[in-house]
Amino acid sequence: MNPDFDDPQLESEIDRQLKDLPELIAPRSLVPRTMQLIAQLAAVWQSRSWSTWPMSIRAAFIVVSVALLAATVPGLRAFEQNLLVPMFAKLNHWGASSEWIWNAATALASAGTAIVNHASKGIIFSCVLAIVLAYAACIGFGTVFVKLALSDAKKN
Amino acid sequence: MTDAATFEAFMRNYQNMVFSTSMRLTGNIAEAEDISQEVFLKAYERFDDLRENPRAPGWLKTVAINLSLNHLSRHRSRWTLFTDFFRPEDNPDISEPEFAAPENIEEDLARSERQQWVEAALRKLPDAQRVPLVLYHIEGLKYEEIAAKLGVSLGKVKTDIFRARDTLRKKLVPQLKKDWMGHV
Repeated sequence: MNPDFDDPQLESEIDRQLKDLPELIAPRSLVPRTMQLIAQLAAVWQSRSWSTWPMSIRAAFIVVSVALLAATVPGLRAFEQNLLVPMFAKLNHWGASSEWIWNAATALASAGTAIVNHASKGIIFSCVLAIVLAYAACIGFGTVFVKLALSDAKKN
Repeated sequence: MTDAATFEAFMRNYQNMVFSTSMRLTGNIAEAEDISQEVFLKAYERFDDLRENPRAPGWLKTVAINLSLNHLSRHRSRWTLFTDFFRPEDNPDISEPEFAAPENIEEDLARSERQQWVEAALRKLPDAQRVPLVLYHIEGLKYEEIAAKLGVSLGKVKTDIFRARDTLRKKLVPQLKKDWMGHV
């Protein structure tokens, strides 16, 4: 050691002054922000891959999965007998009685054909034109409103 | 108490110690707060071991020192390059930390004022001087341990600590000559 560096009096005085310093007060935000981060980290374990889950949660997951599987096998038979079989029987019954839907659709189509045959071409053309214009207006206004909304969002 | 509440109480108990350690090593409030947060996140991971452990304060202090040194070497790298080029006005963090109030209200104001001068002078030291000085005088490490932690030679540690003391003396004597160092 360079003897010029030895100044015991200076060293002891600096030592005394520095050791006399009180603890600084931590910012008030330290505890809340750390606790918030801890809560966030604790909350996201389920969104990470299974291998990185906490060991206790992985063990619990395996136990619950096995229990669910064990309960499912006998439960499936009861489910089939008590729910699926009656449900399919009802569906077959509805299928047989669904003829009225086809009849109603056929009647509506016939009515439409009769209107077209008896109405003048001018009225039909006007109706088609009104429908096309309404559709175009919907698309146009929709595009304008979406662009306005996006431009406001970008400004904000 | 829930685990979170217990940990919060643990944190409140040691936050000033951890913050003081990292603040005096980094010299920057924002960095010290980030480091303190990192220290407590590590503590939370090992809270089952730490909650009843009498060595918890020592563990926290060691982690605070190591993280502060890692932070300094990673983000500043001033140990060897900038020792001689540092200007105190380069320090961007101009806000002052708060000091703990004296336990005795009647404790003389001169002492409190002196402590604030010392703290301010300490913060204005360049990293290369302040860090070994704090590790030696406040954290009680030996020269060899400081050299190993900082990855520099023993001679550089001694030189930097000597320069730090000398700089402190020059900064403090005008304000403190009534109290101390009458010999200078």
